[in-house]
Amino acid sequence: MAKTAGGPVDQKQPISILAVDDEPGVLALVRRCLAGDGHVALVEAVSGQAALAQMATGTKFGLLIADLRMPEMEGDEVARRARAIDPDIKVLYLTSHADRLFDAKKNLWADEAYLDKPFTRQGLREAVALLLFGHTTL
Amino acid sequence: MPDDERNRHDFKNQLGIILGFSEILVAEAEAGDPRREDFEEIHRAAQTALDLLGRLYPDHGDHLLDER
Repeated sequence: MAKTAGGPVDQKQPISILAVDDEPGVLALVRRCLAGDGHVALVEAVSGQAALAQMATGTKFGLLIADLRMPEMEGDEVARRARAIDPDIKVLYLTSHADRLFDAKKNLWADEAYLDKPFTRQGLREAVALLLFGHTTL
Repeated sequence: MPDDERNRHDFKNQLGIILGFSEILVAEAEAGDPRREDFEEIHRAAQTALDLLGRLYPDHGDHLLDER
């Protein structure tokens, strides 16, 4: 179940999503879950540095999907740096510890949400749609 | 993050990948597809393994407090 804060954007516009997780299998699952939506373009990164390098290319991403726990740079740090590049980017954290999320992350800002792992296809799609468009249908 | 916690996290990640893909395969299997029961068995086994992981190695979240 996703918890979220923030406002919607126009669903008719094409959306680029940047997903970062150090586990390639999780990225493959995210890709599979979001497949079939022509208006969603997914870019994948296996580290925070790689994700930020993608943002530095100038691509406008509507959403960052970030594993909260990664070895070199954790998801909230990736999000902080991503917002320094693009203050409008929304963030969906993937976490195995949603019940104690706030032990690790003291604040959930506007336009941020989190999704507990393991996640289902429906759960991910609802979380993405809720964060981007303000309702649960992608 | 301590090694034990990292291993638990990584193991849970792998089970989550199996669960996620098998759930999709079950959902997309046509009615009468003989593979559907196979996909369901994979999904059930991964869920059982995840439950076992939680019982054998409960997540106390101590690393979360250590990290900050």
